[in-house]
Amino acid sequence: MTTARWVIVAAVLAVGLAIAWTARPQPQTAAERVDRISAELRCPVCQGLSVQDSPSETARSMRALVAQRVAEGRTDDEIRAEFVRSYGDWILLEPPLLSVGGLVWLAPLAAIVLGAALAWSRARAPAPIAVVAGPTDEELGRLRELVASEPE
Amino acid sequence: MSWGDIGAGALRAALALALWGLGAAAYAAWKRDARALASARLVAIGAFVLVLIADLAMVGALTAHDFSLVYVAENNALETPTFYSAISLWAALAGSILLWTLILAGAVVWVALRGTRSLPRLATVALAVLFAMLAFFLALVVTAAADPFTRLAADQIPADGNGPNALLQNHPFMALHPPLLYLGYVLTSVPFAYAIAALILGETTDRWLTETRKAALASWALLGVGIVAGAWWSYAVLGWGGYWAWDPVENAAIMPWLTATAYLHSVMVEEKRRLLRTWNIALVIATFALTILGTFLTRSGVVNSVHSFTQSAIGPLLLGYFVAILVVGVGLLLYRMDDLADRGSVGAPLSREAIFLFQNVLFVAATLTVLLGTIYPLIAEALSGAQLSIGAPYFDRVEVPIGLALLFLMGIGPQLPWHGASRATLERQFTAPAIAAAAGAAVAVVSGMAGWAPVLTYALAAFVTATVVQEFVRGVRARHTLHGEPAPTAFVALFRRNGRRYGGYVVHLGIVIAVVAIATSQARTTELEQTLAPGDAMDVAGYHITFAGLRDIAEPQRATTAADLVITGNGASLHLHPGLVQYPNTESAIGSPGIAAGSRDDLYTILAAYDGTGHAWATIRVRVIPLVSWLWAGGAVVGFGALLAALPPPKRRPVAVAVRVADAVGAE
Amino acid sequence: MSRIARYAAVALILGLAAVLTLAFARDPHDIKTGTVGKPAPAFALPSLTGSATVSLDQYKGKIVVLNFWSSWCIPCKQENPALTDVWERYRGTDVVLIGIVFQDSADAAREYTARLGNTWASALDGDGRMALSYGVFGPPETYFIGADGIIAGRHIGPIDEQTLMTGIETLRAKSATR
Repeated sequence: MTTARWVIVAAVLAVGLAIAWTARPQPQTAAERVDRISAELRCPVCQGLSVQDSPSETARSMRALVAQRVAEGRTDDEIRAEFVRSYGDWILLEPPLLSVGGLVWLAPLAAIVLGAALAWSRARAPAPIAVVAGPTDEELGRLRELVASEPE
Repeated sequence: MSWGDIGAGALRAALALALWGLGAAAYAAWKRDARALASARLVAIGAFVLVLIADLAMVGALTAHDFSLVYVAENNALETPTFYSAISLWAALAGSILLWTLILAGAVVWVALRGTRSLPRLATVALAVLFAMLAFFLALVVTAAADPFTRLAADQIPADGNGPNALLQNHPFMALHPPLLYLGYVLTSVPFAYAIAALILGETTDRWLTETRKAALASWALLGVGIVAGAWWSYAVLGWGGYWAWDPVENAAIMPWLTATAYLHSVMVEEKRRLLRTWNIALVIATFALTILGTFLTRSGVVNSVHSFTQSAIGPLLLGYFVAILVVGVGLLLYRMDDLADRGSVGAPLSREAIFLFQNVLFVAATLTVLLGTIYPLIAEALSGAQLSIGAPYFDRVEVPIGLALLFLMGIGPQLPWHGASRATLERQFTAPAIAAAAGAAVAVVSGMAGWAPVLTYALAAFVTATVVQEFVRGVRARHTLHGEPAPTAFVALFRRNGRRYGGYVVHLGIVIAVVAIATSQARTTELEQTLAPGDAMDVAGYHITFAGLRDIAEPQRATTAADLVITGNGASLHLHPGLVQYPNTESAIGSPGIAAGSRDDLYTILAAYDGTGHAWATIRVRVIPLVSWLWAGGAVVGFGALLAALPPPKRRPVAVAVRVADAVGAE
Repeated sequence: MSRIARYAAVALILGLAAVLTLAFARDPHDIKTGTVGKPAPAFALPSLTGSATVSLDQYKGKIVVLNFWSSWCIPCKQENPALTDVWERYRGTDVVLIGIVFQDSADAAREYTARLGNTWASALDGDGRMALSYGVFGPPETYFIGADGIIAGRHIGPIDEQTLMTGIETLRAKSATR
């Protein structure tokens, strides 16, 4: 492999490592748990804002309730279920996977997979090109200039 | 003659002219009749002038507080300042359609006068299409459902009106955001009209693409800037601390922008290699249809939204128009699909045209996802009665990966040659950008980002920046080698000789800035909410915020209670005054945030609640949002880049060729 | 390929049109709550006037009309005459009206009650939890609880006398036939 290839591979690996490092499961503080759960609940008196974002009174009392339940040690599902009992499925900002709303997760995945497959099938390999003597520096310069000024 | 008389009369006369123009243009195209075309041109000008008169009449009625008109009684009050009275033209549905119709009439004039001179046949058919659209909107504003000049019975005229919706008179920015968006929306009708004309006439050339290039770029840029302006308004005026909530109306604006972006890139493949022609027509139709769908979703009252100010009978009419557009557009496309089929293949997976094909797929997937998420609650309720919400968590989860994939394509696309790239080319092109990507990821980790998305965003942002810088360096070096130009001159010359390419690179840089701003502000915002008594303080992210007390401010049209905050720490020393504003016609108060913007972060303060009786306490919410100002800067760079991309290419030098031909001929 | 494309395009357009047309049938402001049809959540809140506790099981077997209000809420003031009339009509029968004040201070609420001369019991939901357990959006909101303790229905926004009477009479008829 050429040096350039090594460098590129190393760089890609570095990026992958960085992602893996930051994506490692970290214990969440109570405050982070409250924020996360609140971000998934809909503020009943706002236009689509989450309980986390809304400064309204109702949202604040909901956040206080979430904080209390987190302190009591309830799981995320239990806390969400409590609000669903009072307000219905409508209170959740993203539908759970196994429900009528769950289909909404399937559609984009299907669209991307299908589309990518179609696109890939249309991209075909080019015919091999015979190798000729490379261009001189002068010609290379001219070519670069032409390419740079070509309308895109 | 009252304002209402002038306006209503002008609209009805304009409708008559639009119908005449439709007939004249259609006849002129069919029979190639020059006189019919001339009359269509005159009528276009006349219609524009009449609609302008109607718009000005409404502005006049608003500033004069003429409450005999229903629209003025509902959207204006005696104490509304003149500036806000004037911009109340677009405060509600009926007036907004007046503005929309004005812009559309302007587009009709442009095509009638300029377009028909460069591409006579195509432009005349396009003109007929545009007249049909204008006639539809004019018919809309003369029906009772949306007539802005509806009169109140003499005994029902109120002494004072309701005043504009509180949210609409809170900030002078309301002057800018809707007109920008409407310009973007309406200008998409020009490429659409030309595309329909090309389909009707069975055009096999791509002349309509070049002809409408400026209009497509302009509408894309205006839509983009309008969306960023809306995000800024949401942030600075709505006062909840964020700039994007995946609200149905925000989604309505971004959907046509996504398909327009795909279109702007995909046309390059058609110009270069005459491929993806079906895609391009489909994208143009989709973009225009989505603008109508967006208007429908916003104004029909079908979905709850920040913009659902009124529910109106106009809904079914807009829906019908939307379906008609789809039927006509898709029908014509299917009819001509065989003629438009690609001859030739797209090349290797790692070729520029293949990348454009992939980006088409991704943009369409992104658009369809936003559409599905927005209307899914309607579907679910209609089919099963279940009421569910689809909000930010869903959209973020799906759109972020798509966005990152597009960011990656943005980096590799411009670097790949047409037809395909060899291994050696790839290695040479991507060594430096790969290193930059690793550096970007390192920066993200070191600055404490959590989660894979921000790290990947930083890596890809650095990657794209490096590729753009590489392109500029190459271009400058080439000009220096060939013309001996010093670097700065060469740099400027790059834009003058090939504005589209290098302006496009500037746009990409603007997008990178915006994306970094979004990723950072989402990942590392810190927040604290506390109830304080006067004299108490709170600390957030190094800022020390002291609550000095509450203050009441009375103005003719509203009453505000503001909290005085003194801020120190992090080198800052300033005062902020978040407040709650009470307008007479709304029950709950509107938040007015106190924001200190900076290049590193914004300090965002909200007065969430306060002691109404004794001013003894206030609940203050503070958010420290890093890099959010870069989002507005990124939007400005995108707009600037679009301007550069619109620079006309330099005139070619035909002299050298002519001499050679003369030589060759002479030699014989 | 183009045949499939044709059919797919037609199907998609028709589907989209159908969905959007159906959407007109719904009122975006009508949001069903989770608690209608379920047993009314128990509560025990301090009374607004005096030191007693107001709890749901004090009224077991009775029809309870629960009205959520706040002193700063303008529609609450608008609906107050209707509540007063209904209270006068049904006072002492098997129907009881209870007010729950939330998102408000006790002083402001007491002043409001005294000013309007309301005589039915009101309880203070200081932290708003009780309102959350019922699925309340915001004041004013009225819940109809049958003699069996099940929430039979709710009304969002200011209520009028007609709706109150209809709700109460329906519940009385139901409990009479048991």
